[in-house]
Amino acid sequence: MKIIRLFFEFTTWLAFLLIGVMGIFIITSNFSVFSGYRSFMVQSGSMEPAIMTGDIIVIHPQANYMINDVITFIGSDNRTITHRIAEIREASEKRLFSTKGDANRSQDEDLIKQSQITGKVVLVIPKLGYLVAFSKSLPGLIILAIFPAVFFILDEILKAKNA
Amino acid sequence: MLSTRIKILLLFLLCLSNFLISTSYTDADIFAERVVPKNRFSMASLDILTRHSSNNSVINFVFHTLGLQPGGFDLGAVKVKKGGTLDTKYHLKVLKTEGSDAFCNALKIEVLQKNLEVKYRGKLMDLNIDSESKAGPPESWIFVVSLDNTDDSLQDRVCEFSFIFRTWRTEPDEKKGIYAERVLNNVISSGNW
Repeated sequence: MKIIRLFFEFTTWLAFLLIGVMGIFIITSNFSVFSGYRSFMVQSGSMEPAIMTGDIIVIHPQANYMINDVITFIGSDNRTITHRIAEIREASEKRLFSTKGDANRSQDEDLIKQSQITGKVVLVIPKLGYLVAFSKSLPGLIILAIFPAVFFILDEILKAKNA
Repeated sequence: MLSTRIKILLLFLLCLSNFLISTSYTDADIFAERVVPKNRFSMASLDILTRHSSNNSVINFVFHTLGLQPGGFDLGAVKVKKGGTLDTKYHLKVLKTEGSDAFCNALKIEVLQKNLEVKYRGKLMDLNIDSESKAGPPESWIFVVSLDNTDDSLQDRVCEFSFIFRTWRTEPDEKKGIYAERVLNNVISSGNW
């Protein structure tokens, strides 16, 4: 009975861990039930003060975009840019969007098509972006991912032994 | 054995790590721009024209004097007017082109305007006058060339020279930039005495 109880406890924690990891993965990946949520770290300051450098934004694709929506789009030079829609122009059954950074004096030079838009900003997480580079480095990976996982597993093993 | 609180913390770290690793990068391009509106370009031209004093026809010669003798003189006149859209300053100089240096240097000139105001009086070769060409009636120049030297060596000599009207913008002797130039040729020969 004791072995069965330990097994249950171990598998429960393992399942809890997996569900938690998967849950976050689901939210942040493009293949989730909340399809299309993606996160981006903001590297520069043209959207200040609404979005500061170092913030993380979470975006989600929309069927329609309105003036004043903050959107993330792929620019003409293939860079991912986040600016606010300043003007919408209807041109031969196409909608073209003129964007502008809040901190910029003038609108962006290029008009963008709806197909270039990745999504609308639905959440801003202040300053967390400074951890992105760290999390992608080896020390960051060890501290944020490997250590917790190892501690978790070791704890369960020790618990099983002591039981 | 880890407490539940620590386990939750570890779980949170794992989730955070997953979230951060899956985060991409976006730019929010910042740039500065200044707009200078209402630019306007227009073309301008710069020219001066030399015209005959009697009928405004094109003039190429002023003096064609033969047999000038000591005490003798000859008269010539020219009108100078603005030819382009820009007002301009110009100077008048004399350049010897051919003939006897001694005879050219012996010649005197008096330059008057239409109101008979004397603008220059002296040696022909040293003539140097600055004036201005602008909208309005043309400037009238009257030239009086004379010989008062009685030296026998000046007999049967020829002096060919040019009146050169050249515009300038910042300084009279500038060599760069756009300018207009008109050249009037002259021939004076001395007689026998």
